[in-house]
Amino acid sequence: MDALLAAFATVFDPYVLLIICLSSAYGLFVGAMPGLTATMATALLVPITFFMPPVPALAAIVTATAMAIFAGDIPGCLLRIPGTPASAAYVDEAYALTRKGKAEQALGAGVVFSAIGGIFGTIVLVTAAPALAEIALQFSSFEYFWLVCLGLTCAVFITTESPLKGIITLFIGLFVATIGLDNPAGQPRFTFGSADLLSGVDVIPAMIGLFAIAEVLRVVAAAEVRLPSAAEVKGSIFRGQWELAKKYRVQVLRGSASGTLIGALPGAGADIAAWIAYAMSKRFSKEPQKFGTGHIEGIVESGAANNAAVSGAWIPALVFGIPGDSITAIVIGVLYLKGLNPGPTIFINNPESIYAVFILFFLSNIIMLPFGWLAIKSAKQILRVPRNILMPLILMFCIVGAFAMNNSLYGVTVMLVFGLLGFFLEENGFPIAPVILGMILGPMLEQNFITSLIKSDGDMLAFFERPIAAGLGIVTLLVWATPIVLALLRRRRRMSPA
Amino acid sequence: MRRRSLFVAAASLVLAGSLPAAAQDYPTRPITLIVPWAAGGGTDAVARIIGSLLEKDLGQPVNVVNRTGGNGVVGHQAIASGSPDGYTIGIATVELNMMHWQGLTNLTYKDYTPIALMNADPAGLQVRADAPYKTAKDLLAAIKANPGKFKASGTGQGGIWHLAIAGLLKDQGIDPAAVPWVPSNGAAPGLQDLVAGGVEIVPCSIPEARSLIDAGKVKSLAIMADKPPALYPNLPTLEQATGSKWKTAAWRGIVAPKGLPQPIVDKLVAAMEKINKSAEYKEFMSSRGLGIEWGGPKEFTAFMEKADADFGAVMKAVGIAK
Amino acid sequence: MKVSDLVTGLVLLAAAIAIFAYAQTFPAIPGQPYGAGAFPTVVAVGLGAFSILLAWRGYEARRRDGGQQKLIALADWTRTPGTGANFLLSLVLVLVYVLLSDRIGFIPLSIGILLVLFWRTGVRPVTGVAVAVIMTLVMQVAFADLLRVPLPRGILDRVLW
Repeated sequence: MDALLAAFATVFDPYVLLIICLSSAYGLFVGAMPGLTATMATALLVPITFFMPPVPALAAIVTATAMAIFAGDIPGCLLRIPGTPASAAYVDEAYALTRKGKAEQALGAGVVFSAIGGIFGTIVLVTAAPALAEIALQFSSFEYFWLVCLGLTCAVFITTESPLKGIITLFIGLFVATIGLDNPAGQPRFTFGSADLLSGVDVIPAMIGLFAIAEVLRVVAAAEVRLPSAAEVKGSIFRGQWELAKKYRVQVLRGSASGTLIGALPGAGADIAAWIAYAMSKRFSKEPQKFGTGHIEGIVESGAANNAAVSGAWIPALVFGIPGDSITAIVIGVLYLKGLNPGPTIFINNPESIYAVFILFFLSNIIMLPFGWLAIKSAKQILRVPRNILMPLILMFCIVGAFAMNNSLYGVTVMLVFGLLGFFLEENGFPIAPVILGMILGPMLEQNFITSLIKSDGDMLAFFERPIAAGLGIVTLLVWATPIVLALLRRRRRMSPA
Repeated sequence: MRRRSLFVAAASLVLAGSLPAAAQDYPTRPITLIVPWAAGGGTDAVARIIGSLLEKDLGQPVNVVNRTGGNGVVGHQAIASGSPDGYTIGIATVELNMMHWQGLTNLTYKDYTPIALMNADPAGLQVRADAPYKTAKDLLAAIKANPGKFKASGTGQGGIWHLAIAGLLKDQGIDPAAVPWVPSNGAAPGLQDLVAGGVEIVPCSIPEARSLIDAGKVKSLAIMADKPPALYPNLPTLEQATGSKWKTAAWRGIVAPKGLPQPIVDKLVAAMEKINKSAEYKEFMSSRGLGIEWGGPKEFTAFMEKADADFGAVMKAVGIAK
Repeated sequence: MKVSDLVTGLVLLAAAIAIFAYAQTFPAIPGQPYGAGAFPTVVAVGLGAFSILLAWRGYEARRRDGGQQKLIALADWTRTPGTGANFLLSLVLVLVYVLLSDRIGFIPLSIGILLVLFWRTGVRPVTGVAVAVIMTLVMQVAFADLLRVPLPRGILDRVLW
């Protein structure tokens, strides 16, 4: 109890509170810029935190990442440019709401349910971290293989019009993921002697191209009017959120829980959590036909999931020093630096600091509401800017964002190529989100498939030998088999009109 | 004619004055420090601490720039192709001595002006904490008795820890293929797989395995270096445990593009030596469990030369070298 | 550009065959029966199979409407001179940035690109110049100075702070 009081005293210190406010603003800005990710926000903070005491250092990182993941929703919703890959899953849905004039509702749901998901994840972190970390550590490549397969299935669920076209763009993404040197064999593939292609195709510049550049091309060139004007966007962002929370309480709970779990797995993070949550939301929804047309349900669930995953990722990081995602990989370094060595004993050796971290998590998710409100209010002004001024500026921001990912013009080239690809695909009714899904999951699929085969000396049955792997495998095969069986049944019924 | 010679004289005066001045005043604008690995990794952390200390020492901003991809090829290439004016430097890593053997690039350590070796982390030999072997010798005997049964992980195919164990096996007269390598994206996923029961050995560095060793999930049997690590002074060296003289370490050092003028080299070497000996650097490195190493341009070159030859031999034995 | 699913399917099928063939040349992991080629092969087979399905659907659709839909149809805007040119111009400007930014630098190129696009989309000159200059400087300060993104300095290398 003393430790808890001491922790409160360290957190509610004016200096720490000032750090929290500054890093909130910083996290919101970085997250809202396409091309700048939450990981980058954290990495840039490291040299600054070096000169800070432990608690303010962690305060800066915790707040900045939580804000960045939420802020990724803002450009996604207003301009159809996801700020981070974690927002790509439901960007079409949010933009559809904006076009209906419901941007305030979509963004409000984003901030409210992000906060709820984040707080849920923190409660789990506080109460069950050691036990959950033990489970997460049991995941070997066999388990991850099935999890990735399940993730790929999302491509079908999130596609509204033609599932076949969704599968095809998923395969395009999977192919793009094979380019480069970073594969289990360590062999250059499809690089044609280019040093740039050796490093593969980064998801971020490709995402900027597919969503933002394609959109710029449509508006600037095809003179297609898509953006709603600011006047159409009315209402308060918090109005109606309570009703949503009541109506979709199951979805909120499911999204938060699955997000925390997926975040706690060292091989999967906020982006995969968002995809799976969105697909799950549609799969179990009472009104799946409304998905993709500006329906808030999926945003509620996946918005909660990606912020829950941010908290969940700290579970294996604190308990075993195993990073749950690229952000916690950096955090572990900072923890060591501040003498807070991760491990099961961290809860015994440094209770004040750990309690302080927990308080910081609660605090950052709570102040997300006022800061998010401010950010949304000011970001909404973007819609007041005339389209012919806005679009060239977006083009320039995209160029800088694609460059910033790896500080290389190669990123800008990738953006351009994917911009054209995205434009072409959309013109012909192909969904583009599965391309991103394929690019994120492709390397994981290959890595876990090949390493599993090496470990089992080529024995395919090994994929079902471990209990968790067997369970996940059976679920995956059932999900895949269901639509085929249903289709066959339907055909049979049609053939015999009895 | 007269006017022209006057012009030449003036021009040469300006040039003569300005060239050494450029080196003397160095640096007069921001310096870029290129990191061939992603933000957040160990190399990035080392580069950022060196960068912030260098910034204090030289009084000019030092921008740490990550150029990732292609197992470090892209970033190392970016350092080598920078202009040798002291405003582009970079942190080279052990992969520099490996990638040209794989035929990925023509770059070798000879394409740089070496400044200073700043860090080295020797490979350890880690197994699950409940594994039945007590010493590295037991483990080697078990490998010999059951070739192909033990799997190891911790880096990609042909990465530094893969070569660490392959070199050890080769040194002991065992076929390197007796321990099939399971490629992973770095030590953390490899260690996790070790704990999850997917692989049996992870020959990564001690700081990488530290948290799981402290958590009682993993044990280290030996370190492939001259002396035990500062973190675990009781850990035997490979030579003590098995008699093998094989040593491997992942290292990091500051390099510049080839052809950097000597005055700038001297200035940077002096700055690096100051950083290397500074309390901040020592505190940073020891808190993360990273080993501090010092080598000026001459020692650094000799070090890379030996490592390059060693790796070439192992990579040919494993079948990775082209 | 609207392309019939029949054509898209066939093009993707050709790509899948090419990927498949190329993947067979990748070496195996030493000591293992599979390697770099295994996953691209699986992807190629999957892509090929679903492309055939797509082409078949496109063919069915054409047969049903009696071949009225063109195999490849240009969208209306490409025939309007202004919009078609703007489309190409946007692509060319990005390409110009890729090719020249190292030499010329971010600031002049950004102002230039913005001015060209503002001029083409009918922004008033005074507004255009002001927005182009101010926003370029905002980007320079936000990205290069605060976030330390090394935007190319180009010709302004010695002038910039």
